[in-house]
Amino acid sequence: MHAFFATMRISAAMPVSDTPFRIIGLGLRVLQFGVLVGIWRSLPADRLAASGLTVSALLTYSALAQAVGPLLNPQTSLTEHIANGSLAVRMLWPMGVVSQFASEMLGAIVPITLVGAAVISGAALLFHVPLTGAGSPSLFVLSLLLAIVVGLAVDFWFALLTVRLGNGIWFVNAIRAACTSVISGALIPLSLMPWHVGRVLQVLPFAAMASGPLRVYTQSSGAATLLASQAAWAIVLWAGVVWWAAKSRDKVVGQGG
Amino acid sequence: MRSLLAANGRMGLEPFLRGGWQALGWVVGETLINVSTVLAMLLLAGRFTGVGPWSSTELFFMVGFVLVSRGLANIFSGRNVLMISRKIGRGQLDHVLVQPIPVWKALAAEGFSPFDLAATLVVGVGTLAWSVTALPRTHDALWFGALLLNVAGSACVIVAYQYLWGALAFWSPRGAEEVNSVSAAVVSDLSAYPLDAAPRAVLSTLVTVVPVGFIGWIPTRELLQTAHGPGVGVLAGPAAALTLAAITFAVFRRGLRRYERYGSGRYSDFGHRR
Repeated sequence: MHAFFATMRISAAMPVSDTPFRIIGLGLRVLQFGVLVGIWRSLPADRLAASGLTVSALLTYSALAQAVGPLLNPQTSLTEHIANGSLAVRMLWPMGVVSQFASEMLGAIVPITLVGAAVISGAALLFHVPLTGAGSPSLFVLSLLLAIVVGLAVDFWFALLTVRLGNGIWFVNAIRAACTSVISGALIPLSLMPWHVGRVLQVLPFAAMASGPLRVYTQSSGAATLLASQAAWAIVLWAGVVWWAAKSRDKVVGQGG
Repeated sequence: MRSLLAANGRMGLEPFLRGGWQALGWVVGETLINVSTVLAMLLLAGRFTGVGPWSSTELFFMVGFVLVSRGLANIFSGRNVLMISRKIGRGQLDHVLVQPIPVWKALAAEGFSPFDLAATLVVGVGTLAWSVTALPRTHDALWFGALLLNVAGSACVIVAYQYLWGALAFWSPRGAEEVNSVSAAVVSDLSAYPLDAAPRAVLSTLVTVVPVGFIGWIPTRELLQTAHGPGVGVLAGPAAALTLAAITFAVFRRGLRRYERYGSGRYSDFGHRR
């Protein structure tokens, strides 16, 4: 664990020159949050109630989604290292592959998330958005940890997919980035989706990455089911990663790893 | 110029000439990447009868309008021409400057991608056409003229906005690439939302510093007259496009002069992507 936290610390020390771009990125999140606040307040209340949501819960949901946003879709640099062949060097590190990429990623995004959470909380106060959910904060933390575990597994699945697709890294990452925020429920709650789309998405692993923890915090009931679902997905996905990684070993070696 | 456009257009057939799964993957991927940015709005329009003063059909109209504008911008600015900071910062602007034609012509020809980047335009035209026929009012030729003018204006805002931020690469090659990625994300993430009820500070930002309000919300609001009270007129979008284009032109020209004097910093000891 010492190596894990040491890598996190090193990764957390970002270059000072990156600060302005992080601030601009954070500004984008505040703008997106503001736009969503306006939309949620404009939705017809009766139709919203039919979805089992209140405007207040919806506003809290969006505030939380923006505040912890980077943790809801964790992305390591594994695909890049597979693509450019530098995974071979990483395999010589005195740490497991999962451990080094996870610690590096967490070190990079945890400080940003903390700063982002503070800024979004300030914006929420400015926009009169309630930050207190109906659920338990401690269960939310547990659910968020499970979401990160599931998210990491999904990241490894996508990395192995790039191996199978012959290094289509840019394309796979673009599709992933484009789709994940919507189908995971990070942008709009799955229960607001039409034509039973939300019900289908609810059973997919992407829901365990964002919709799960956000619902645990904003809903007064159903936390146990959501946590169990997240834990089940974590076990299934990581078992799949281990199996697929073993099966793809020759291809990874062929691509430089 | 025509032969240059034709040559670049033909290069856009490359993903399809690979055939089979690779061609299908390209089409599906391109469509997913672009449609996903408006998916949230499409889903909300499908779920609710409307958002604020906008009916579902009007929201579909806005989404179609934005996709067509973005599609046009993509088709004329493919191959990193829209992400101009990359070409400037990595020294690739030299490839443009050595050509015996004006810079704008060389960039327009290089970015011309009518086949490989057409997915957004195709989906956008379909959505826009359907929503126009579903709107509960008839439209005359003048309205369609205003629609075309506004689509062109929105595409111009997208290109000008990207070039304005991208021109920073003349001074800060690495930083501008990062900023240009964020500015592109702003256009794709925020341009297809109704902003009527957005908090005042957010709304002010989205029609000034980050003018995405002029890409979708203001032009479609004026075309459909969804605003409560007096609007700003159907020419507001094109006028904003012209203003932004003029500012961008001035900044870009200044940067280009600097580039002509100092050249690319890529090959210096601390060069970006050396």
